[in-house]
Amino acid sequence: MDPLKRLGELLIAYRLPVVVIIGVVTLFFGYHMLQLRLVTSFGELLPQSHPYIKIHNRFSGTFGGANNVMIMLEVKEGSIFTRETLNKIWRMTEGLDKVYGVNHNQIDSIAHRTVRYLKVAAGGTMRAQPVMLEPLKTEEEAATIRRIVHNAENIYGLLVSLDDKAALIRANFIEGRLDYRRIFQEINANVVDPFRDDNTEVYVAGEPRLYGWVYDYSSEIKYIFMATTVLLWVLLYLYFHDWRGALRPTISGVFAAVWGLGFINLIGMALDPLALVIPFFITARAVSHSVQMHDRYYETYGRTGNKHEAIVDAFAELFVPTLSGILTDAFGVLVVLLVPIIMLQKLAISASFWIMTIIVSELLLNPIVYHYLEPPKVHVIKAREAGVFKRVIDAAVAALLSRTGRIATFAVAVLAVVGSAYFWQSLVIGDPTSASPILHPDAPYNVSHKRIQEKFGGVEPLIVVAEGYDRDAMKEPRMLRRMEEFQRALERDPSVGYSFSLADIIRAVNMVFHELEPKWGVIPNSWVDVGGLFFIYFSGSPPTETAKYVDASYTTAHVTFFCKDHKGENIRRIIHRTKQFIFGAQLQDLGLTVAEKGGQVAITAVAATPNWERAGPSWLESARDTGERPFKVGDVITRLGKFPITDLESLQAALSKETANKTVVTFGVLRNGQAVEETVAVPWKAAFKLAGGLIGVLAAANEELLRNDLLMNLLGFGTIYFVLIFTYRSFAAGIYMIFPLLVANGVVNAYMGARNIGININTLPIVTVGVGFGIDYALYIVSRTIEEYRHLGDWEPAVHRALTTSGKAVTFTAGSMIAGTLFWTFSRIRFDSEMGLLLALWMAISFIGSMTLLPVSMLTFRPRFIVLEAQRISRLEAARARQLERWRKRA
Amino acid sequence: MPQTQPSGWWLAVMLAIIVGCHREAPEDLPLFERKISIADKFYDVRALDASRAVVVGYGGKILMTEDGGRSWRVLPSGTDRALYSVEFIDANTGWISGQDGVILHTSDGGKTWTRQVSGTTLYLFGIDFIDHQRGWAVGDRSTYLYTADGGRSWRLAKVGGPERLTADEALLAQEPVLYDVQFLDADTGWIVGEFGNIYHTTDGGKSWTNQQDTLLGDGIFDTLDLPTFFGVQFIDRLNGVAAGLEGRIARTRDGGENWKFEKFELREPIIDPLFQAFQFPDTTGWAVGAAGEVARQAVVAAPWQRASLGMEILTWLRGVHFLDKDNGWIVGGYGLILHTTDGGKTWLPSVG
Repeated sequence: MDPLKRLGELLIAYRLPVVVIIGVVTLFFGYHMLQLRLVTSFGELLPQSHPYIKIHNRFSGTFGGANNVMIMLEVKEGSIFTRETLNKIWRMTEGLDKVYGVNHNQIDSIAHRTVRYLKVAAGGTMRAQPVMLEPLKTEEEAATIRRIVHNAENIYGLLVSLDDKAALIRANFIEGRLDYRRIFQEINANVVDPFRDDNTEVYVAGEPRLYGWVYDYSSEIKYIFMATTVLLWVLLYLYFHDWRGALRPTISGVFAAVWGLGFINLIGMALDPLALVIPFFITARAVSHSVQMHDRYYETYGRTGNKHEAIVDAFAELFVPTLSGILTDAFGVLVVLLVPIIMLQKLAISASFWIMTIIVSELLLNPIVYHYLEPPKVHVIKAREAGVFKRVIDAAVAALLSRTGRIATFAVAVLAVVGSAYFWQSLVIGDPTSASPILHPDAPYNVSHKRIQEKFGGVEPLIVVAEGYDRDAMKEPRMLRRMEEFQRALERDPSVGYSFSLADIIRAVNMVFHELEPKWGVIPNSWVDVGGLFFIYFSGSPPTETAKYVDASYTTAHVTFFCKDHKGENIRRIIHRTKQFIFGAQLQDLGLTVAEKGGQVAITAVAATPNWERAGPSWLESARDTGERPFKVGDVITRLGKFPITDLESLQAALSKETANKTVVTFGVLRNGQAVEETVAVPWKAAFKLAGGLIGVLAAANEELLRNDLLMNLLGFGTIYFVLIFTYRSFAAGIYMIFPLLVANGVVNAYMGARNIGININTLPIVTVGVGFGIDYALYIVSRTIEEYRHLGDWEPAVHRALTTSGKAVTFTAGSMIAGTLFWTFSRIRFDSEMGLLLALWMAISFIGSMTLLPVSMLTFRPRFIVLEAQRISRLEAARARQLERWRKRA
Repeated sequence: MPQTQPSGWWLAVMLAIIVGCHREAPEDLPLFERKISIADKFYDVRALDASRAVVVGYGGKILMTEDGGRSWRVLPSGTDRALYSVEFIDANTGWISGQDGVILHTSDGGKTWTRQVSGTTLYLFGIDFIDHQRGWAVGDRSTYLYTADGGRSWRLAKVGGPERLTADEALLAQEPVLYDVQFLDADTGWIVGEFGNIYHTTDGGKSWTNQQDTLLGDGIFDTLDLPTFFGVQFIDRLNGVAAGLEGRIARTRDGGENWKFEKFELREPIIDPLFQAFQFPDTTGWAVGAAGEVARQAVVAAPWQRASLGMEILTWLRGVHFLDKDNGWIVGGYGLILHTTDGGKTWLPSVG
């Protein structure tokens, strides 16, 4: 007997133990499913091994992290400098300070204790004191605050808009305490709602707020689920003409969901509201497999009228395509493991486990469920055979397989690929839009984001850390000037709004110290003067407050660039320019001009008086003693430390890595054909290190995605191909079946490009789940073609029959899934609606591809694997028949 | 039945599709090439004629217009230090003083600037020339520099303080910062600075006398309470004004024998410092200061009033210069350059 049929028989025979075991396991997972929370863990969204994230993790506690909330109060009439409005800002700041998870030392507001100005008291003594110590009592006090703000460069334009109509309150949240839902509610209750009135509007932006909105909206997802379920039931009833057809896929879907969701909790993961589309798709796969099985069961039952035979036959015939469909999906998703982002890795594991559970619900449980279910009425099955749907399919298949149909199919496929290729170039890594693409452009969050952007020019920080080699490095005037130069250089990029560094403080303090004379608003010449000014400014503040500007030993500070958006391409460009600036500054300090020619980096000029120190760079003693410069014009730099140098890019990377923590570096130099080693003490006091803030961490995530994108695509398809080799024992089978998927992939990529949907940590898992999408359509059609070829012995009738049987079920599943997916487009979360549309498109294209391109190419090229597979199965059947005959005789 | 195996080229097409969907390379947006940006701070302006003007400021910035401010050219200064003061004695010859003892000189109307050796690294806040040869620059620590050869060589000197000092006065008045200087000829000149100091010489700097004592009375009884003066301007040997702390303007009509604080007619007093006052030959004038304060004396000897520039100014204003009663310039923080051609009725900002 066919081992698969035997397995089916066994399952029915031992149904009680099987049901008990599955029931117990389901209870176990069900318990875990109920513990599941809807949480986004920010740390897990970051590629922890990326150097930017390491810097981010080290300094986010002091210099500011990526979880900033920006609250802007804006008045419509008048200015904010009235007693009433300033007191509002005071109370809002106080309210924000009480929100759960806020870092109390990283609140910036004119009404927060950490925002200080320099006050010259009677007798010439000076101290830095908070701008607003307490709520105001008179309008005169408000006028005083106005004056203070207008004279403080570190406040005006940064925390108060240049038109005096808006004030910004900025707070950073502690990464481990991010409870988006709670932050959202508490900010609404403490900071937003009580302060809105006819003349005052409050806007809130920032990642924690964005996720707050997503959580707020995500409650509607249950309605989407409900609507989809109802629709599916209706469609399934219409298709199968009875309620069992609707029940069976539901059982499969629910079992898989309980196991999958339970597993997610079991591995310590929570559900991300943005990833909720994924469970939907996995469930869709379960339903899809069920429909195939159920269709086959009805078909066989209609033919034989024997329930038991129909169950076992459907089970045995569909076992291979179902199993390999599940395996390709599961392994395809597992490829996401490659991205070193914990969230994605957990998602890969849980999604592929979930898909695997379909094996249990669909294959193991199935024969048992059928066993307990009443068989369908034969007249119902007959009615289906003559239904409208069946007739339409018959007609369409006939048209497709005609000569014209075949030519048209190829032509359309080529056009689709070529047309899509045009849009591929606009596909981006990272976010392609300025506000958040997760929500609709007119969502309150995006409106707020845009408004704050307009008033303050930039709200999303990129933090570059200047880490000194020694204490007091930040008191060095040259270092401060370098930071200032850095600011001015990057501010010229259209995406950078403004920037902030210790240099801004020192200038402002110097000016106030000298009776507000702007000519003193400069960086002093000596580090003694700088130190003195810092002392004046910071002496009255506890270290926890000053730590956001500079550490207590003045070793390390930062330059923060406030960027206008986090578009993927802008982030990439800004990071590129940041590196370019640092590299240029280092070369300038070394007094070197270099050029790349023919795979070498040659020194084209050595500064007579290196820029850094007029006395000349502080070379190591030996070089200084001989009076010789370590570099000469014409030298070729071949090595820096342990890094070989072949081009400017490698020199840039090596310089940044080698001098990250060391002040002495060794250059390998080729001079007049001789290899020479030159050891040099770097003339700068601190190394600039990338990168913290939202822009820094997104840059890291985008870089990881970019690095793995191609590999993942290749491996995703590779996995599918590999499974197909084993399924059909043929190298060609995979090519026939993957081709429609590739066309779908191409079209979907084009759609993403055209619709401005970027590849980012949110979209990537969905796109990757989609890669294997529709392979099961191909599997069912090919398996059925093999089967029919075996019976009919000719290509055209075999393909025709496969399309009107399995193809019919495929058409139904695809149609109903696409219809169900379209409910997502009503979601207030733009991300969900776009992903819904995207996946509907994906299913549609791979369905069309599998139903047209695949059969037409099979018919045109007549692949040998179908014939061989058919012959092999026939041989096996014959052998089994002979064996059976022998057993019977023996008996 | 023929069976083809098109695996080879199909595989190639498939790879092409996968790789085709992969993208890279950031597009390079051009950098802003703004000549005037919000990060600019301008300290001084000089109108050379009705259409030409030179502005100097932070970060070694020198700007020049030849069309009344419609367009600006950034002139290479060769330094990134702040440039504080600019002086032209004719259309071609000018000097700029700045941070770190920077002195720049041009003899081609500002097209090229060369650095002169000042011999100091002090801040040189003000510079003044009376002809092609003789000039003075003043800075912190009571230091001034003078040249008799057009800046080829500069000599350092210190201005003496009051002769008799109490111990406290000596401590505080030690080396006051000097902010501005003006000479009318080789002998007669004034320097103003910290603690209300107004120094006067009639012998080309050999000896200096203090003139600020006449400002006492009028609510100020201690010389140390006198406001620091940031700018001084004389139109002849008799008439001079000095602008200073707490919105004060001091005036003399007798060559400094007597200085008096000017009267203001204001609804709200000016409490922020005024940095520069400019008077016309008829002694009416303009003054600018911190927090966007602009004061104007429109009628001779009448009280000063707040002037409206037709826009809200939210930054400090450091320099004011008029070519004549109609044509004038004001410069300040946040890259602000304002120009009037109708005597201050309307002001147009330059946006680079």
